[in-house]
Amino acid sequence: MTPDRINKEGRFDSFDNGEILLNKKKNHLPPMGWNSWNAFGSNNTEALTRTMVDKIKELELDKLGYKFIVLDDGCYKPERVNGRLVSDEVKFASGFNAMSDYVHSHGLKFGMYNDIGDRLCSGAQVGTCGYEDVDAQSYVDWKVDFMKVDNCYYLWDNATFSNPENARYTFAPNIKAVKIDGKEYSAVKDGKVTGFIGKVEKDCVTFLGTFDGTGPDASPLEVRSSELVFEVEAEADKTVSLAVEYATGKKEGVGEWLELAVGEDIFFDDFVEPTESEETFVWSKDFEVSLKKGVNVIRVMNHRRQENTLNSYSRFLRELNKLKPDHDIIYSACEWGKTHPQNWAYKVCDSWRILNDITFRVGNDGDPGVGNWKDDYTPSVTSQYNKAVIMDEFAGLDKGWNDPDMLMVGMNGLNDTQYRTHMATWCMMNSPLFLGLDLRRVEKGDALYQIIANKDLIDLNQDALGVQAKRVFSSLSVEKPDKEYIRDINRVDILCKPLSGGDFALCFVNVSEEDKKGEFSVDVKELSKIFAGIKSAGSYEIKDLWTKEVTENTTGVFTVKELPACASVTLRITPKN
Amino acid sequence: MTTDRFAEYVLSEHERIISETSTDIAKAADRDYLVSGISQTDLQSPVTRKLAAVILHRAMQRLTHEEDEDWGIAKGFRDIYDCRICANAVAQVAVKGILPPEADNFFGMTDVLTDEKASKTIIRLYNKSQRITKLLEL
Repeated sequence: MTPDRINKEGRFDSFDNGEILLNKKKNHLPPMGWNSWNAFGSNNTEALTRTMVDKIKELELDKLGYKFIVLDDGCYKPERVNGRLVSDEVKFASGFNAMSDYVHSHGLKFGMYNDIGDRLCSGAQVGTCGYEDVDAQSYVDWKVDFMKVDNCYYLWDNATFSNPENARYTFAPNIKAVKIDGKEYSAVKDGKVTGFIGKVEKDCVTFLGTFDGTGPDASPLEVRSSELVFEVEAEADKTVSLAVEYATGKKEGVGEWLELAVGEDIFFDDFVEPTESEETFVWSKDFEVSLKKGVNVIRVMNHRRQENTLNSYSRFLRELNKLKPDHDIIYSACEWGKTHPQNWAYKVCDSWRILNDITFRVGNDGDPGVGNWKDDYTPSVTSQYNKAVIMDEFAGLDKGWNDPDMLMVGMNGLNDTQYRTHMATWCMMNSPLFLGLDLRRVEKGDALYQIIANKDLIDLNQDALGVQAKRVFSSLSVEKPDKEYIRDINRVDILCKPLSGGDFALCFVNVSEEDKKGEFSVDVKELSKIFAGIKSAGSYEIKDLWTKEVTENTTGVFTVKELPACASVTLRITPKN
Repeated sequence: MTTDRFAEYVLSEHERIISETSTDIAKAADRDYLVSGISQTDLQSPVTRKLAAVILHRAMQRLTHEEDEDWGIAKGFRDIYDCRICANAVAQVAVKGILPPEADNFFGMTDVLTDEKASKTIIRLYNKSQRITKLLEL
């Protein structure tokens, strides 16, 4: 097996064109519900799920928007039966139809989980790869309303549990030179390395591919891939030969798959003959290339890390469409930010995870699991927040939503202040809101309930305008608070979210674990320069969305004094007069 | 040792230590819990260190009721996040000194556990005095 041929519409060069594929439905607000993973890991059961359904109804969380009940990893029998998915015989003995019926009978929506690889992350050998048609039929039969699709054991990249040598698909070989119309051009001297990851090593160019975004190391905003570009002048339109001097490898940075283009027209996209080593260079066969009179841009590259993944997520949607063209299944990509899905996922998905998991210490029946406020890697509220907070340009009703992973409200390791800020920022950022706790621990009116059932905050998340908040101030920002990727948490941020009807919300966030003294202010005059919908007014009604206190402001300057460690203040502001 | 045999070994040692013979139903339930979600292919294959960690951690949850600890040095394993499903299990067996990492900062998820090491690991699961406390100083 090798990756599919890819049409122009699924290519890197089409990522920025704003066009969705496969009739993906637009205008979904961020999905809300309960997902089994943070609460029970792979030990979720039919009985536990039914109990969660009952608790959602008892707590009336569905009335606040928590509609989707999603079975995460661990619910399937680990092998297919006659090629089909079936439920785990012990944990879901009654089968998924019964589970779906139970969820639907309570007026809720049913969600399930799978993977674009050949296994699930748990190791169960039931990934959708190659079974998209069969599995789509199963999910239609089970009347699913939501699909979360993971990226473990992916065949065309070195994803989690995949063969590390799969990197050969996603990086170009090391390139030493190209020969065009008989003239040799040095990669190092004559070529230009574009983008973020490519580099010169000795006498060749390497790392022609896409940076792995699973971890928190890089900003999501710039292009995270590289090409090697040559500019060749032709005195007239003509057909010439082109060859590449290369050496292949099978690891991150050096692969065997090459894409060649003149301008935007790809003329080669496949494996090249492997070489003895990454340092043993050979000349490729000659390719025939059409040059136009003037300057021609020859691109040596490999964008397959992003292109393959988009294609794999598309394959499943295509099969769902065939079976049920008018379906409205919410499609959640969980490829952990590895391939920078903010660039492409809007075409086929409703949301996309931006990083690896928010916690690796998930709960179990009787154990709430553990979440962290900060961490050097991804498992913490702030690791996810730091990245998501500058990703507003990728989100919207016509695109979909950045997903900084499920809520950790209710897990050990975080205090009530941290829960509140977690909830407030996720609501401001239009993140999908999936509860990840055992709801038996919640009673109406208790501290956890008041956080997860804060209707005023949920109203921000579900506002019809569908705009993710923008960071308009950060105490550590040098120039552009909405663009700078800041990982140092010793700071205060201010987020602003335009709302329908001319209202807007402000969230003052002390990201640090130390109290912050002083005043933090934002002026409506500055906000109105950033957001067309925010206007100055004679006075403003301000509602604190935690204390519910309502005050009046006549200055247009909104100020918060002193923020305890990890605390936030979230205000809804209604212009008057 | 296959993964399946490793799980059986964990269960039989538990039964031996507590000196109680479980009913067949209870045994089957325990076994189902330990190997839940593990495919037949993996069950019949030599046990990898990551699957050994998963089974040992499940045994701690179900049989010995041992609480999780902070990850400590396990946070520094460069392969710890390669396995979202087993990351916590790996961290727990490592910091508790049951199944030490292969190197200072590398657990060795996919390497096969030799029979000798598998046996020692199961001894350390049930006998805390045998655990490798020096690991904590690595």
